[in-house]
Amino acid sequence: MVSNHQLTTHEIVIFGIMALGTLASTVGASIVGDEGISAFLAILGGSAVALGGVWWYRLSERRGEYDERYHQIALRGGGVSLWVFYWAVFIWSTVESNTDITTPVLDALTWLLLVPWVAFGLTYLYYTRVM
Amino acid sequence: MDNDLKVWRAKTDVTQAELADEVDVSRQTINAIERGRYDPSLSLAFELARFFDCHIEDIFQYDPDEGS
Repeated sequence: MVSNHQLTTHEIVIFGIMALGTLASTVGASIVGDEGISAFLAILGGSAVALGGVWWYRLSERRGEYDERYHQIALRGGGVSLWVFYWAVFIWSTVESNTDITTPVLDALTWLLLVPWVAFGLTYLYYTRVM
Repeated sequence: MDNDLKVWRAKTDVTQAELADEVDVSRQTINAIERGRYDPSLSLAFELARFFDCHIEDIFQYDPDEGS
């Protein structure tokens, strides 16, 4: 159950970490000239976003902002989207190394990043209907 | 797992939304439990039993052969 409440210090810190992580792993990693620092920023930013996500999830769980059924639905969605992403990366790398297929709109990796979000959304919708 | 939540709710004349508010879950979760699509956690089962002033087994019946 979603409740209306003001942002707490915890949430501001969490969203700050996630925002900085997103900026570091996208814009930051892109504009830094040095390859090593760019890779470091991408890994650090990605880890920060993941850490922030888990922290926010635990916080909302403890507060009971979402009821247990929705937490289970979200966990299922997260699990399914992780596996879909895993196989999408595997299939894409196989296709890329064996064919001449290119993606004219957006970079191939950018498309891949959309896969877990779409999978999560569809899985979430599915489970809210069957569970 | 079978349950008589709908019967208990009817006996006490509360809506799904009212019951949901009492036990801090969404109306959809109460609906899912009543329709047998979702088995509640032990703590939610206790909350429901406490609300109806009965035992958990009065609301929920576990059938080992059914598996869930």
